[in-house]
Amino acid sequence: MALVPAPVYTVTFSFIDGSGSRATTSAYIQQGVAFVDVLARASGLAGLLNIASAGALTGYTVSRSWIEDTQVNPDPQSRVERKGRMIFSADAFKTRMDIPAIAPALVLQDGALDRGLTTIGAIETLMLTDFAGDFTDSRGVSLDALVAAYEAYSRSTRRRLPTRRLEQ
Amino acid sequence: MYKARYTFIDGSQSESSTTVTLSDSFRVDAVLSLADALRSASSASLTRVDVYRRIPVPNANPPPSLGDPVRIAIPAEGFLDGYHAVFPILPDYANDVLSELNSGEWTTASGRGLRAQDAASVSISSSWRNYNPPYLDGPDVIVVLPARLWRDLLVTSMALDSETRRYGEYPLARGLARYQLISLVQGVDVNQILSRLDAIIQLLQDIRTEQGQSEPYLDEIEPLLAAILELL
Repeated sequence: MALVPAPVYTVTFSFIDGSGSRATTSAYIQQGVAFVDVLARASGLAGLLNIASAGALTGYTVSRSWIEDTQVNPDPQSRVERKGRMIFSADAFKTRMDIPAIAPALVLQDGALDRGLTTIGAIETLMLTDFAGDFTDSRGVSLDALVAAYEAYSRSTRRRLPTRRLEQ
Repeated sequence: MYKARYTFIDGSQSESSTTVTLSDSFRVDAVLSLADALRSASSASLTRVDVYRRIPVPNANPPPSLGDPVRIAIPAEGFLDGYHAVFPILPDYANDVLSELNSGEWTTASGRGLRAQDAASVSISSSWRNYNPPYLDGPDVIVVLPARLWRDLLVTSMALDSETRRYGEYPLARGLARYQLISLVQGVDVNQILSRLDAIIQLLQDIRTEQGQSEPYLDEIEPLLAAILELL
Protein backbone atom coordinates (compact mmCIF):
# COMPACT_ATOMS: atom_id res chain seq x y z
CA MET A 1 0.00 0.00 0.00
CA ALA A 2 1.63 3.15 -1.16
CA LEU A 3 0.86 6.44 -2.78
CA VAL A 4 2.11 6.47 -6.35
CA PRO A 5 2.64 9.80 -8.11
CA ALA A 6 0.56 10.47 -11.19
CA PRO A 7 2.74 10.76 -14.31
CA VAL A 8 1.68 14.31 -15.02
CA TYR A 9 0.72 17.63 -13.58
CA THR A 10 -2.81 18.60 -14.54
CA VAL A 11 -3.60 22.16 -15.50
CA THR A 12 -7.32 22.93 -15.56
CA PHE A 13 -8.46 26.16 -17.18
CA SER A 14 -11.86 27.67 -16.33
CA PHE A 15 -13.86 29.84 -18.68
CA ILE A 16 -17.08 31.80 -18.48
CA ASP A 17 -19.12 33.03 -21.41
CA GLY A 18 -21.55 35.86 -21.90
CA SER A 19 -24.50 33.75 -20.76
CA GLY A 20 -22.76 32.96 -17.49
CA SER A 21 -22.09 29.36 -18.54
CA ARG A 22 -18.84 27.92 -17.35
CA ALA A 23 -16.51 25.44 -18.98
CA THR A 24 -13.23 23.84 -18.06
CA THR A 25 -10.53 22.17 -20.06
CA SER A 26 -7.38 20.39 -18.97
CA ALA A 27 -3.85 20.06 -20.24
CA TYR A 28 -0.97 18.07 -18.81
CA ILE A 29 2.71 18.48 -18.15
CA GLN A 30 5.17 15.68 -17.53
CA GLN A 31 6.33 15.05 -13.98
CA GLY A 32 9.91 15.90 -13.17
CA VAL A 33 9.40 19.61 -13.75
CA ALA A 34 9.51 21.87 -10.72
CA PHE A 35 6.16 23.22 -9.58
CA VAL A 36 7.23 26.80 -10.23
CA ASP A 37 8.19 25.91 -13.80
CA VAL A 38 4.83 24.24 -14.30
CA LEU A 39 3.16 27.41 -13.06
CA ALA A 40 5.17 29.47 -15.51
CA ARG A 41 4.26 27.20 -18.39
CA ALA A 42 0.59 27.19 -17.36
CA SER A 43 0.65 30.94 -17.10
CA GLY A 44 1.95 31.15 -20.66
CA LEU A 45 -0.78 28.96 -22.04
CA ALA A 46 -3.37 30.77 -19.93
CA GLY A 47 -2.32 34.04 -21.49
CA LEU A 48 -2.75 32.62 -24.97
CA LEU A 49 -6.11 31.07 -24.16
CA ASN A 50 -7.37 34.26 -22.62
CA ILE A 51 -6.51 36.17 -25.74
CA ALA A 52 -7.84 33.45 -27.99
CA SER A 53 -11.16 32.91 -26.23
CA ALA A 54 -14.26 34.88 -27.03
CA GLY A 55 -15.32 34.06 -23.51
CA ALA A 56 -13.12 34.87 -20.56
CA LEU A 57 -10.61 32.80 -18.67
CA THR A 58 -11.49 33.09 -14.98
CA GLY A 59 -8.50 31.17 -13.67
CA TYR A 60 -6.58 27.94 -13.78
CA THR A 61 -5.53 25.28 -11.33
CA VAL A 62 -2.27 23.38 -11.37
CA SER A 63 -2.40 20.09 -9.53
CA ARG A 64 -0.18 17.13 -8.78
CA SER A 65 -1.62 13.86 -7.49
CA TRP A 66 -0.63 10.68 -5.74
CA ILE A 67 -2.94 7.68 -6.02
CA GLU A 68 -3.15 4.67 -3.73
CA ASP A 69 -1.80 1.78 -5.76
CA THR A 70 -3.71 -1.05 -4.13
CA GLN A 71 -7.34 -1.84 -3.54
CA VAL A 72 -8.37 -0.01 -0.39
CA ASN A 73 -10.25 -1.86 2.32
CA PRO A 74 -11.73 0.59 4.80
CA ASP A 75 -13.13 -0.66 8.07
CA PRO A 76 -16.75 -1.61 7.23
CA GLN A 77 -17.91 0.33 10.29
CA SER A 78 -16.02 3.50 9.41
CA ARG A 79 -18.01 6.60 8.50
CA VAL A 80 -16.52 9.77 7.11
CA GLU A 81 -19.10 11.87 8.97
CA ARG A 82 -17.17 11.22 12.17
CA LYS A 83 -14.45 13.80 12.04
CA GLY A 84 -11.38 14.21 14.15
CA ARG A 85 -11.24 17.99 14.30
CA MET A 86 -7.92 19.64 15.03
CA ILE A 87 -7.87 23.39 15.58
CA PHE A 88 -4.55 25.13 15.07
CA SER A 89 -3.60 28.69 15.82
CA ALA A 90 -1.71 30.81 13.35
CA ASP A 91 -0.76 34.13 14.84
CA ALA A 92 -4.06 35.48 16.24
CA PHE A 93 -6.21 33.40 13.91
CA LYS A 94 -7.33 29.81 13.95
CA THR A 95 -7.57 27.20 11.25
CA ARG A 96 -8.86 23.66 11.34
CA MET A 97 -8.21 20.29 9.80
CA ASP A 98 -10.76 17.46 9.92
CA ILE A 99 -9.70 13.83 9.77
CA PRO A 100 -12.51 11.83 8.13
CA ALA A 101 -13.64 8.69 10.00
CA ILE A 102 -11.40 9.30 12.98
CA ALA A 103 -10.34 5.98 14.50
CA PRO A 104 -12.54 5.34 17.58
CA ALA A 105 -9.51 4.32 19.64
CA LEU A 106 -8.21 7.89 19.40
CA VAL A 107 -11.33 9.43 20.95
CA LEU A 108 -11.70 9.78 24.71
CA GLN A 109 -14.92 9.17 26.57
CA ASP A 110 -15.74 12.88 26.63
CA GLY A 111 -15.21 13.39 22.91
CA ALA A 112 -11.73 14.87 22.95
CA LEU A 113 -8.99 13.31 20.86
CA ASP A 114 -6.42 11.61 23.02
CA ARG A 115 -3.41 13.84 22.49
CA GLY A 116 -1.35 11.56 24.64
CA LEU A 117 -1.43 8.89 21.97
CA THR A 118 1.36 8.65 19.47
CA THR A 119 -0.92 8.97 16.45
CA ILE A 120 -2.33 12.37 17.38
CA GLY A 121 0.99 13.55 18.76
CA ALA A 122 2.69 12.59 15.50
CA ILE A 123 0.32 14.75 13.47
CA GLU A 124 0.86 17.68 15.81
CA THR A 125 4.64 17.32 15.71
CA LEU A 126 4.72 16.84 11.98
CA MET A 127 2.68 19.96 11.21
CA LEU A 128 4.22 22.22 13.82
CA THR A 129 7.80 21.06 14.22
CA ASP A 130 9.06 18.54 11.69
CA PHE A 131 7.91 20.60 8.75
CA ALA A 132 7.66 23.98 10.41
CA GLY A 133 6.60 26.62 7.92
CA ASP A 134 5.22 24.19 5.37
CA PHE A 135 1.71 24.15 6.82
CA THR A 136 -0.10 27.46 7.06
CA ASP A 137 -3.53 28.97 7.48
CA SER A 138 -5.40 30.35 4.50
CA ARG A 139 -3.49 33.65 4.78
CA GLY A 140 -0.16 31.88 4.51
CA VAL A 141 0.78 32.36 8.16
CA SER A 142 2.61 29.39 9.67
CA LEU A 143 0.80 27.26 12.24
CA ASP A 144 2.16 27.73 15.73
CA ALA A 145 0.08 25.56 18.09
CA LEU A 146 -2.62 22.95 18.34
CA VAL A 147 -5.29 24.56 20.49
CA ALA A 148 -8.06 21.94 20.40
CA ALA A 149 -8.70 18.44 19.18
CA TYR A 150 -12.05 16.70 19.45
CA GLU A 151 -14.50 14.52 17.59
CA ALA A 152 -17.19 16.26 15.57
CA TYR A 153 -19.90 15.19 13.20
CA SER A 154 -20.29 16.78 9.81
CA ARG A 155 -24.07 17.03 10.19
CA SER A 156 -24.19 17.66 13.93
CA THR A 157 -26.14 20.42 15.53
CA ARG A 158 -24.53 22.39 18.31
CA ARG A 159 -26.49 20.43 20.89
CA ARG A 160 -25.29 17.10 19.61
CA LEU A 161 -21.59 17.93 19.53
CA PRO A 162 -19.45 16.11 22.06
CA THR A 163 -19.36 17.69 25.49
CA ARG A 164 -15.69 18.51 25.61
CA ARG A 165 -15.18 20.66 22.58
CA LEU A 166 -13.80 23.79 24.14
CA GLU A 167 -10.16 24.64 23.80
CA GLN A 168 -8.01 22.91 26.31
CA MET B 1 0.11 29.19 -1.38
CA TYR B 2 -0.88 25.66 -2.28
CA LYS B 3 -3.55 23.32 -1.00
CA ALA B 4 -3.15 19.64 -0.24
CA ARG B 5 -6.34 17.61 -0.39
CA TYR B 6 -6.47 14.15 1.20
CA THR B 7 -9.36 11.96 0.03
CA PHE B 8 -10.72 9.05 2.05
CA ILE B 9 -13.35 6.38 1.46
CA ASP B 10 -15.22 4.75 4.32
CA GLY B 11 -16.97 1.45 4.90
CA SER B 12 -20.13 2.71 3.21
CA GLN B 13 -18.09 3.76 0.16
CA SER B 14 -18.69 7.42 0.99
CA GLU B 15 -15.87 9.76 0.07
CA SER B 16 -14.66 12.69 2.07
CA SER B 17 -11.61 14.88 1.90
CA THR B 18 -9.73 17.18 4.17
CA THR B 19 -7.63 20.07 2.98
CA VAL B 20 -4.64 21.84 4.46
CA THR B 21 -2.87 24.94 3.23
CA LEU B 22 0.79 24.85 2.27
CA SER B 23 3.33 27.60 2.00
CA ASP B 24 4.88 28.51 -1.33
CA SER B 25 8.05 26.69 -0.34
CA PHE B 26 6.40 23.51 0.91
CA ARG B 27 8.27 20.23 0.78
CA VAL B 28 6.74 17.20 -0.90
CA ASP B 29 7.90 15.13 2.05
CA ALA B 30 5.64 17.20 4.29
CA VAL B 31 2.63 16.36 2.15
CA LEU B 32 3.38 12.65 2.03
CA SER B 33 4.31 12.43 5.70
CA LEU B 34 1.00 13.98 6.67
CA ALA B 35 -0.68 11.44 4.40
CA ASP B 36 0.89 8.64 6.41
CA ALA B 37 -0.10 10.28 9.69
CA LEU B 38 -3.70 10.80 8.59
CA ARG B 39 -3.88 7.23 7.33
CA SER B 40 -2.96 6.06 10.82
CA ALA B 41 -5.55 8.28 12.48
CA SER B 42 -8.50 7.34 10.29
CA SER B 43 -10.47 4.12 10.15
CA ALA B 44 -11.37 4.96 6.55
CA SER B 45 -8.89 4.41 3.71
CA LEU B 46 -6.84 7.11 2.08
CA THR B 47 -7.30 6.91 -1.69
CA ARG B 48 -5.46 9.90 -3.09
CA VAL B 49 -3.60 13.08 -2.37
CA ASP B 50 -3.81 16.17 -4.57
CA VAL B 51 -1.66 19.23 -4.27
CA TYR B 52 -2.98 22.16 -6.24
CA ARG B 53 -2.84 25.86 -6.67
CA ARG B 54 -5.61 27.98 -8.08
CA ILE B 55 -4.57 31.04 -10.05
CA PRO B 56 -7.46 33.46 -10.52
CA VAL B 57 -7.47 35.75 -13.49
CA PRO B 58 -8.60 39.13 -12.17
CA ASN B 59 -11.25 41.23 -13.80
CA ALA B 60 -12.66 38.47 -15.93
CA ASN B 61 -15.31 40.27 -17.90
CA PRO B 62 -16.94 37.93 -20.37
CA PRO B 63 -17.81 39.26 -23.81
CA PRO B 64 -21.19 38.38 -25.30
CA SER B 65 -20.68 34.82 -26.44
CA LEU B 66 -18.20 32.05 -26.84
CA GLY B 67 -19.37 31.44 -30.36
CA ASP B 68 -18.29 28.16 -31.92
CA PRO B 69 -15.58 26.63 -29.81
CA VAL B 70 -12.64 25.11 -31.54
CA ARG B 71 -11.59 21.58 -30.82
CA ILE B 72 -7.98 20.57 -31.11
CA ALA B 73 -6.62 17.06 -31.39
CA ILE B 74 -2.89 16.38 -31.33
CA PRO B 75 -1.35 12.93 -31.71
CA ALA B 76 0.80 11.74 -28.87
CA GLU B 77 3.97 9.69 -28.88
CA GLY B 78 3.42 6.21 -30.23
CA PHE B 79 0.51 7.49 -32.27
CA LEU B 80 -1.89 5.30 -30.34
CA ASP B 81 -2.64 7.63 -27.51
CA GLY B 82 -4.55 10.60 -28.79
CA TYR B 83 -4.92 13.89 -27.04
CA HIS B 84 -8.16 15.71 -27.16
CA ALA B 85 -9.10 19.01 -25.70
CA VAL B 86 -11.99 21.35 -26.18
CA PHE B 87 -10.72 24.86 -26.03
CA PRO B 88 -13.36 27.56 -26.40
CA ILE B 89 -11.13 29.67 -28.57
CA LEU B 90 -11.51 31.53 -31.82
CA PRO B 91 -10.15 29.86 -34.95
CA ASP B 92 -7.80 32.76 -35.66
CA TYR B 93 -5.86 31.96 -32.51
CA ALA B 94 -5.81 28.20 -32.82
CA ASN B 95 -2.29 28.10 -34.22
CA ASP B 96 -0.85 30.01 -31.27
CA VAL B 97 -2.42 27.57 -28.82
CA LEU B 98 -1.34 24.61 -30.91
CA SER B 99 2.19 25.88 -30.99
CA GLU B 100 2.29 26.01 -27.20
CA LEU B 101 0.71 22.58 -26.75
CA ASN B 102 3.18 21.14 -29.23
CA SER B 103 6.21 22.67 -27.54
CA GLY B 104 7.28 19.37 -25.99
CA GLU B 105 6.23 20.32 -22.48
CA TRP B 106 2.65 19.02 -22.58
CA THR B 107 1.46 15.44 -22.36
CA THR B 108 -1.65 13.29 -22.35
CA ALA B 109 -3.21 12.31 -19.04
CA SER B 110 -1.16 9.12 -19.10
CA GLY B 111 2.09 11.03 -19.53
CA ARG B 112 2.79 10.55 -23.22
CA GLY B 113 4.31 13.56 -24.88
CA LEU B 114 2.30 15.40 -27.49
CA ARG B 115 4.03 15.23 -30.83
CA ALA B 116 2.44 16.59 -33.94
CA GLN B 117 4.43 15.06 -36.79
CA ASP B 118 3.33 17.79 -39.12
CA ALA B 119 0.49 20.20 -39.60
CA ALA B 120 -1.65 17.53 -41.21
CA SER B 121 -1.60 15.35 -38.11
CA VAL B 122 -3.22 18.06 -36.02
CA SER B 123 -6.93 18.36 -36.23
CA ILE B 124 -9.03 21.41 -35.56
CA SER B 125 -12.76 21.22 -35.58
CA SER B 126 -15.36 23.77 -34.68
CA SER B 127 -18.33 21.46 -34.19
CA TRP B 128 -17.93 19.59 -30.98
CA ARG B 129 -21.51 19.69 -29.80
CA ASN B 130 -22.67 17.60 -32.74
CA TYR B 131 -19.66 15.43 -32.93
CA ASN B 132 -18.06 15.51 -36.32
CA PRO B 133 -14.87 13.51 -36.20
CA PRO B 134 -11.74 15.39 -37.10
CA TYR B 135 -9.87 14.36 -40.18
CA LEU B 136 -6.65 12.90 -38.93
CA ASP B 137 -4.02 11.72 -41.33
CA GLY B 138 -2.76 9.05 -39.00
CA PRO B 139 -5.25 6.20 -39.34
CA ASP B 140 -4.56 4.86 -35.87
CA VAL B 141 -5.09 8.01 -33.90
CA ILE B 142 -7.80 7.69 -31.30
CA VAL B 143 -9.34 10.88 -30.07
CA VAL B 144 -9.87 10.88 -26.32
CA LEU B 145 -13.11 12.59 -25.50
CA PRO B 146 -14.44 14.02 -22.27
CA ALA B 147 -16.70 11.63 -20.39
CA ARG B 148 -19.87 13.34 -21.45
CA LEU B 149 -19.02 12.64 -25.06
CA TRP B 150 -18.14 9.03 -24.41
CA ARG B 151 -20.92 7.78 -26.64
CA ASP B 152 -19.09 9.27 -29.57
CA LEU B 153 -15.85 7.58 -28.74
CA LEU B 154 -16.27 4.63 -31.02
CA VAL B 155 -16.15 6.81 -34.07
CA THR B 156 -12.63 7.26 -35.40
CA SER B 157 -11.25 8.44 -38.65
CA MET B 158 -10.43 4.91 -39.68
CA ALA B 159 -12.42 3.36 -42.49
CA LEU B 160 -15.57 5.40 -42.02
CA ASP B 161 -16.35 7.95 -44.69
CA SER B 162 -17.80 11.28 -43.73
CA GLU B 163 -21.30 10.51 -44.96
CA THR B 164 -21.45 7.38 -42.88
CA ARG B 165 -20.36 9.26 -39.82
CA ARG B 166 -22.70 12.14 -40.40
CA TYR B 167 -25.83 10.05 -40.61
CA GLY B 168 -24.94 7.66 -37.86
CA GLU B 169 -24.99 4.53 -39.96
CA TYR B 170 -22.20 2.88 -38.05
CA PRO B 171 -21.21 -0.45 -39.49
CA LEU B 172 -20.60 -2.85 -36.69
CA ALA B 173 -18.21 -5.13 -38.44
CA ARG B 174 -16.80 -7.17 -35.64
CA GLY B 175 -13.24 -6.64 -36.77
CA LEU B 176 -13.58 -2.90 -36.90
CA ALA B 177 -15.20 -2.59 -33.49
CA ARG B 178 -12.66 -4.97 -32.03
CA TYR B 179 -9.84 -2.94 -33.50
CA GLN B 180 -11.25 0.27 -32.10
CA LEU B 181 -11.69 -1.10 -28.61
CA ILE B 182 -8.23 -2.63 -28.57
CA SER B 183 -6.82 0.70 -29.64
CA LEU B 184 -8.68 2.33 -26.82
CA VAL B 185 -7.22 -0.06 -24.31
CA GLN B 186 -3.76 0.72 -25.55
CA GLY B 187 -4.28 4.43 -25.66
CA VAL B 188 -6.44 5.22 -22.67
CA ASP B 189 -6.11 4.51 -19.00
CA VAL B 190 -7.41 1.00 -18.38
CA ASN B 191 -9.40 2.16 -15.39
CA GLN B 192 -11.35 4.49 -17.61
CA ILE B 193 -12.22 1.60 -19.88
CA LEU B 194 -13.32 -0.57 -16.98
CA SER B 195 -15.40 2.19 -15.46
CA ARG B 196 -17.21 2.66 -18.72
CA LEU B 197 -17.80 -0.88 -19.86
CA ASP B 198 -21.50 -0.44 -19.28
CA ALA B 199 -21.47 2.57 -21.55
CA ILE B 200 -19.66 0.59 -24.25
CA ILE B 201 -22.19 -2.20 -24.04
CA GLN B 202 -25.05 0.26 -24.16
CA LEU B 203 -23.51 1.98 -27.14
CA LEU B 204 -23.14 -1.26 -29.03
CA GLN B 205 -26.72 -2.15 -28.23
CA ASP B 206 -27.90 1.26 -29.38
CA ILE B 207 -26.06 0.85 -32.64
CA ARG B 208 -27.77 -2.47 -33.14
CA THR B 209 -31.11 -0.89 -32.42
CA GLU B 210 -30.42 1.84 -34.94
CA GLN B 211 -29.80 -0.81 -37.49
CA GLY B 212 -33.26 -2.21 -36.83
CA GLN B 213 -32.14 -5.15 -34.80
CA SER B 214 -33.61 -5.03 -31.35
CA GLU B 215 -31.68 -7.89 -29.81
CA PRO B 216 -28.55 -6.89 -27.93
CA TYR B 217 -26.50 -9.51 -29.79
CA LEU B 218 -24.39 -10.54 -26.89
CA ASP B 219 -22.54 -12.90 -29.16
CA GLU B 220 -21.08 -9.78 -30.78
CA ILE B 221 -20.33 -8.02 -27.52
CA GLU B 222 -18.76 -10.86 -25.62
CA PRO B 223 -15.78 -11.28 -27.96
CA LEU B 224 -15.10 -7.58 -27.59
CA LEU B 225 -15.10 -7.79 -23.83
CA ALA B 226 -12.88 -10.86 -24.05
CA ALA B 227 -10.48 -8.89 -26.21
CA ILE B 228 -10.30 -6.21 -23.54
CA LEU B 229 -9.73 -8.70 -20.78
CA GLU B 230 -6.92 -10.33 -22.73
CA LEU B 231 -5.09 -7.04 -22.70
CA LEU B 232 -5.45 -6.33 -19.00
